[in-house]
Amino acid sequence: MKSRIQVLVALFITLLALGAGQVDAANRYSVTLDPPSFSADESSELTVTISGDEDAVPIIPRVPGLVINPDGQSTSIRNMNGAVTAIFARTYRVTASHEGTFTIPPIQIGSITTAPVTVRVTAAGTGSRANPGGDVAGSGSNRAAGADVAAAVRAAMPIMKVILPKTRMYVGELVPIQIKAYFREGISARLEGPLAAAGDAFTVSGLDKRPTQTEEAVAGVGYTVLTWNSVLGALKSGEYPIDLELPLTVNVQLPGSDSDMASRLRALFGTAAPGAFMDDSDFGNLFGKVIQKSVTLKPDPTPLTVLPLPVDGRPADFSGAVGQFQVATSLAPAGGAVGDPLTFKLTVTGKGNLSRVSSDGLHDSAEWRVYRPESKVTADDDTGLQGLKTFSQPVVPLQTGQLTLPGLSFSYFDPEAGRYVTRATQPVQVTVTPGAASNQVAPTLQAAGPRGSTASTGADALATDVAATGGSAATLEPLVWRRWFLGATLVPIALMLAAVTLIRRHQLRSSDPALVLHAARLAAVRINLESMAAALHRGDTPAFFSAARHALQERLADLWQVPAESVDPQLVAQQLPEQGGELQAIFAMAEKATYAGESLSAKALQEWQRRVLEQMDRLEAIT
Amino acid sequence: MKACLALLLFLAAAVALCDQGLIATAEHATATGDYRLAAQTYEQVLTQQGYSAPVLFNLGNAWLRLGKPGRAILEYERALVLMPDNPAIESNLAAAQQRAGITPPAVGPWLATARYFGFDTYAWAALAAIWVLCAALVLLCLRGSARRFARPLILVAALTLCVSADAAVLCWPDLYRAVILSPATLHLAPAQSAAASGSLREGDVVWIQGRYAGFNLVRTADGHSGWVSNDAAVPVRVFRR
Repeated sequence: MKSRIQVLVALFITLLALGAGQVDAANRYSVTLDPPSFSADESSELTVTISGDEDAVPIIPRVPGLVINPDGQSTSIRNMNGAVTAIFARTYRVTASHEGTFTIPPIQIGSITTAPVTVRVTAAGTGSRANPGGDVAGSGSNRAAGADVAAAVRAAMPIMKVILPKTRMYVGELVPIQIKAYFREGISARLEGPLAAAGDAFTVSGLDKRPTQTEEAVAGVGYTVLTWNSVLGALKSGEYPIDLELPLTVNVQLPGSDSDMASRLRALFGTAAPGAFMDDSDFGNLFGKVIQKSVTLKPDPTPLTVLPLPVDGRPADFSGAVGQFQVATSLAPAGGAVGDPLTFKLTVTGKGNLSRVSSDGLHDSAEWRVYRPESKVTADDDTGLQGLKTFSQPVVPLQTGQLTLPGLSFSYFDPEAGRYVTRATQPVQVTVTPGAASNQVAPTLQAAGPRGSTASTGADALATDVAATGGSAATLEPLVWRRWFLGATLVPIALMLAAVTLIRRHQLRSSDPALVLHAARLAAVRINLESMAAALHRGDTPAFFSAARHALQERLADLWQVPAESVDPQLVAQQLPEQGGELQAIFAMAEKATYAGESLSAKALQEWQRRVLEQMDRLEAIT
Repeated sequence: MKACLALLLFLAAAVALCDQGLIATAEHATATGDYRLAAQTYEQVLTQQGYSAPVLFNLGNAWLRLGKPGRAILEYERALVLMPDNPAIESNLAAAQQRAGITPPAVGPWLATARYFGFDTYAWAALAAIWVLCAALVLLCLRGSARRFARPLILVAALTLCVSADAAVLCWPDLYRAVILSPATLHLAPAQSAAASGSLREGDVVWIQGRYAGFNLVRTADGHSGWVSNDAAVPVRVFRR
């Protein structure tokens, strides 16, 4: 049995899924506008009916000049010869901003679009319902005259009044305000939204609260009155009307046979043709003729004068508080020991903008350590116009004896007197007893010296808390366990060892005569080779060969450890019997150039330079 | 590059402002008697910005006022690491020990003198002495007037190094100090099922000798040794063996 049910459910779901794509094809749609022609101060009802298996949301296009707002929806089931059909009806309220002929473009419902609908809007007060027309049907009998309808609508419109205790106020001042909306007896209306303040000149608080409802008679006519008790605050100086808005839908009942209900029923059951099923005058008279009108209720634009706060005489501590206030201070407990936290309270009571009441409170001194104040507003009434604001500030005595908490001042603007008022409180005397080990010092660990000084103590015999600052150590790990510390210890030792080694080596080298002589000879070789190059540049042949000979002499003397002057071609032949030919040639050429005055060309000198340098390299290799 | 620097500066300023806000909150909580909030907030400050003697001191005060002398002793001991020999901290530490019913162990004159500065101070002094000593040895190798400065420098540096090393040796056991946060049992072996060899009171100071399997091998002030769970004995400094 259970498995059969599961199979059936599965089949149903499958069929539903298969059928989902064909919903539009299986449904039928109709669009009606009733009445198709109406005046600019009336409205019409657009009904989109979907009969079939599936509902679909119509997409209503925008039409310039027309306002089409959703007005409701309904669902019904029709059983015709055993065939059950669901009917989904959505109604829209159509109003026009001006007269003319408008065309509502095709409405898209699912994948199907409807035919366009033509709407004729006549001038306000002409009552188009008396002459129905257009391409959508409407009933044609027993219509009210247009002028009567307009008059009825005007008479039925509610009225809004604002009751203020004064006509002039100051910027920042709060004034109680009463807003009343009058609804004539027999007129039903529906609030479409909350009462709201528009514009930027005023704030109106308390509008979100539920209005009180009373019955009043004005000039013999009974009214239902909704009343909001609020508070008006002025934001800027100048003359501005109080701009309030209350969106409503008003149902105006007129004598006649065609009723709104009848048209709804006609739309619901698809009887679009005139004279069919619901086009019954008796049925229409049963419900009466009703016009729905969407309106935004506003009060008379009577301006209110807002005065700026005077600049002259404005106290320095004025923070924007406007009203009438009293101030008082208290301390709880009234006394204590050093270090005991006490609570200092500044209380501002009165009527006005308590939210703008502010106080810096007390400040730190040698006698007191104070903390930032915290404020709290307690309203005495629903509007918040009257109440008290309390500033609680913890204070801690730092010294013993008869201490004084200084008085505080508070300034506000009194709109009744039209001047600034400064209220001051009296200083508070406090008896502070010593703690168990009390001594007066600055309450900081840093100030307390490492030895010999003591810290201030509280009633619990503890040194009182100190002014905490940010962290000074990322970790409590001992220095010696950190790697960088080990490195910082080894680095100077390594540097010292390296420096001492270098210094000692330098000193050893500089104190050896053989090394000194070797260095001097190498320097002489370098100087002579530079002189040789300079002589080549000048084309001075004797100087060239003189420098070349001296360079070779110094190099060979360093090699053979003999005086440089003793190096001559004979010694070269003796020391280098096989390899000394080239050296001998250089020495011979040097003799000729020096003593015979032979002059060579620059090219020849370059060739000799190459030969000399080559010999130098060979000697370097021998070394 | 400049943008990165600006971002870093902004972040640093933001962190500093945030910490100042936390500290103000903690101070306000202390002033209004909400010591639990104060303790929580001071711990947040320590987590976010590192250790600071004033914050540790205030945190210790908050714990002590909450009736947790063990936690208070731990925070005071830590504050003394950063600010050794501070009378306010020592005074409150003594008050906490008194509330815990603990008599602090007697300290000899040499150790008391050595504790005048913290262990890290001696480490810094020794490091500076090593640098100066090395520089002076290099100067000694040079000829001329440099050698004249070398000898007194070596003398001063060597003396500083010796004193610092001696003091550091004396203070060395302090690196292994731990505070018992709640009454605990000393076990003969590192296991809860092991036989008890003694008991520890909240606020007792012990010296950690080693660690094994969630237990600390500790030595008490009166020379007893035993194993106690890691949770019960919290090191004053970071423990490393």
